[in-house]
Amino acid sequence: MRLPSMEKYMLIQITISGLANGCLYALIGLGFVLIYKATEIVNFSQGEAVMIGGYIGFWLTYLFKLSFVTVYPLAIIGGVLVGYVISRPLWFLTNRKAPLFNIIVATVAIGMIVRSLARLVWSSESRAYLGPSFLKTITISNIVITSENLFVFSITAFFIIIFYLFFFLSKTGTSMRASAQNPDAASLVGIEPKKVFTLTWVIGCALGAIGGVVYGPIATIMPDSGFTIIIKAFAAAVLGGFGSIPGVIVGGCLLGVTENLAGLFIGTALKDLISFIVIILVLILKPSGILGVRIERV
Amino acid sequence: MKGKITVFLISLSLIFFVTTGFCGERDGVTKDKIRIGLITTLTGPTADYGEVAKKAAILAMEQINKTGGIHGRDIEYIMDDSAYQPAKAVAAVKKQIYRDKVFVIIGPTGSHTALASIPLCIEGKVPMIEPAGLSNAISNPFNKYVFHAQLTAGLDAHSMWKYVMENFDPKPRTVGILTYQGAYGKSKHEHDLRNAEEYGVKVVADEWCQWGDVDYTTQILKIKEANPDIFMINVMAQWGGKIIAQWKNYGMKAPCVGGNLLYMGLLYDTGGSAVDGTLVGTILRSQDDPSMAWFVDEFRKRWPDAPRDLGTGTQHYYGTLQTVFQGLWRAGRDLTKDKFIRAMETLRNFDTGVLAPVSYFPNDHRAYRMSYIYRFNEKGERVPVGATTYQHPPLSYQPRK
Repeated sequence: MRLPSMEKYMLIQITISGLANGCLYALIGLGFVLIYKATEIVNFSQGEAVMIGGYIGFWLTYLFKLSFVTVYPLAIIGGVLVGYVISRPLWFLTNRKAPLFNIIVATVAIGMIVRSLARLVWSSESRAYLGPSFLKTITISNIVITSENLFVFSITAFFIIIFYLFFFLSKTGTSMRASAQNPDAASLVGIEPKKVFTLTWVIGCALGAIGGVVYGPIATIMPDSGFTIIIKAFAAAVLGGFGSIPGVIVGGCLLGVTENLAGLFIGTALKDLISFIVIILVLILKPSGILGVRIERV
Repeated sequence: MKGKITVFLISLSLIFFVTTGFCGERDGVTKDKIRIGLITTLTGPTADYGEVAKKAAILAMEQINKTGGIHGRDIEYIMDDSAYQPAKAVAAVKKQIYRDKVFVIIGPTGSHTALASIPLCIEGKVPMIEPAGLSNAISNPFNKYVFHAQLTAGLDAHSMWKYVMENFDPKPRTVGILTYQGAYGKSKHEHDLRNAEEYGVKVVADEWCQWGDVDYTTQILKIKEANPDIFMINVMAQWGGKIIAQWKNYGMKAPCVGGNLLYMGLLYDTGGSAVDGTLVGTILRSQDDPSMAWFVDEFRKRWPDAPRDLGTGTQHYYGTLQTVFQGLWRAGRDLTKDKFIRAMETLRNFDTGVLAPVSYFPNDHRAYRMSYIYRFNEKGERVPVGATTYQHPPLSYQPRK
């Protein structure tokens, strides 16, 4: 392998944009991890929450010319609604002690239903919108941080901090963690499992919707757009340790930077191939993921 | 005795119906209907293209039926979704050939789905008209059942290179290329390399991207590092806008040149005013041109919720159907597939009203020999700047492997 000659700035530049990509994967992957951690369900309809967020971003900014400051609360509401609707049939199955595999397959089906409905209501035409106009691209001695990068960094940092404060410092967050650790014991001390289940799903989908508003200016939004990004978000969660909240952030950033560096040093045609090989290698060395907890098989 | 006669008559009737085709139908043609198969991407990553293509096809068929059809036969259609996946395209083609018994298939949309479907159409002896795929492999090697109703990657590349080399001053000496790893991208890329060699332009950077990429920093920086005189972009419009915006964000002044796929209005929607100056080539007549007002009006009347930019699929499918109707008309009332194919091969500079002129030949089913060149301005309008003609290279006549 011949290393191309390059200036230091290129390496820094590629790392910055890799981190931005990783933040996007982490933001969306966080929803996966939260839902899994609390309910053991891998939510294969998480992409649809992203898609809904993207559409909300489009309508409110492009059609109604609202600022992004207004868009986010409304995107969260959209995500909450989606999460609530999705959680109903899944709670029904969970409460009836349906096999976990069946519930996971149900999330696939729900995802397809939501995509089909979106296609029916909004058609398949691509929608595109630009990021917030108050964010400008900045250049610091040859290093360009685009407005999209700034958008991703700021939104990810903000919502991860909010989420962390909620999940670890609030009473509700503590209830959710308690329920995830030991549902029976939590129930005994008065924590309602149904309430926690619903709350987990609405927060998880709200995170997806927030990710969707960020994703919209980067890609275009159509009914299938969530399906495309979710693979990377899922990979980020697995790499970081599925079930670990800090892990998904680490995993996302590592994935984002790895794919960019693979493109730089090996070849852009092999970016995805190399980054997923790295994931496999990491998992061989640490099967539970970078920050994941090892689970003993019985 | 009476019973035996009844059985005999029933058997005779059955034999009659089976040999003449059920209820008088033969290969998708009845006394008053011609059945056309349409396969496009109603779901999947290019569903936005397929959605408008479907609408344009329906418009075209409704229009022809309103005027009495073709030789007294209305056009009826079977629409199937390929989801931009070869497996689904093949399934749709099989269904349309063997169950629906269509007369001709329009689609499936996209080079890789078309390539997967061609062997079935040849085996089933059903003409296939591909309006969206650009890969040269669709029409080469030649087969009489396959019509390539889209500009080829060769024409796409040639038209841009010819325009650039004849109009840029100074002439570019180096080029950086970014290509999407799909059937179209690879085909266009191959022709870009060939054209670069012919014109003596050095390829100083050659990078790739995939569907689903959210960031192109690595590719753009590598190309920027090589500092080419022109930046050739072989990607879809929705990514192209982002790429061009990022290119300009890095302070690069080299003009961006793209092929047919960059023509869509999405280029401006995703890139904003950064797309100003970008050159694209296409067989489509500009929807902003007054001569296209009739089409835009008809489309909007039929589909009032149509977006600002009607999309490229509208013209591709509408125009392709005009050629099919012309072929059906020229084939006459006593319609067979062979007659239809021979009739299509008589089209010379046929004007569909929405596309460049179409010509098919008995040994060459590549529809276009001309491409229009447009330049995007800062408002996202596509300003026509020229047109180029192209002599296709010879085809292979070996059977497909």
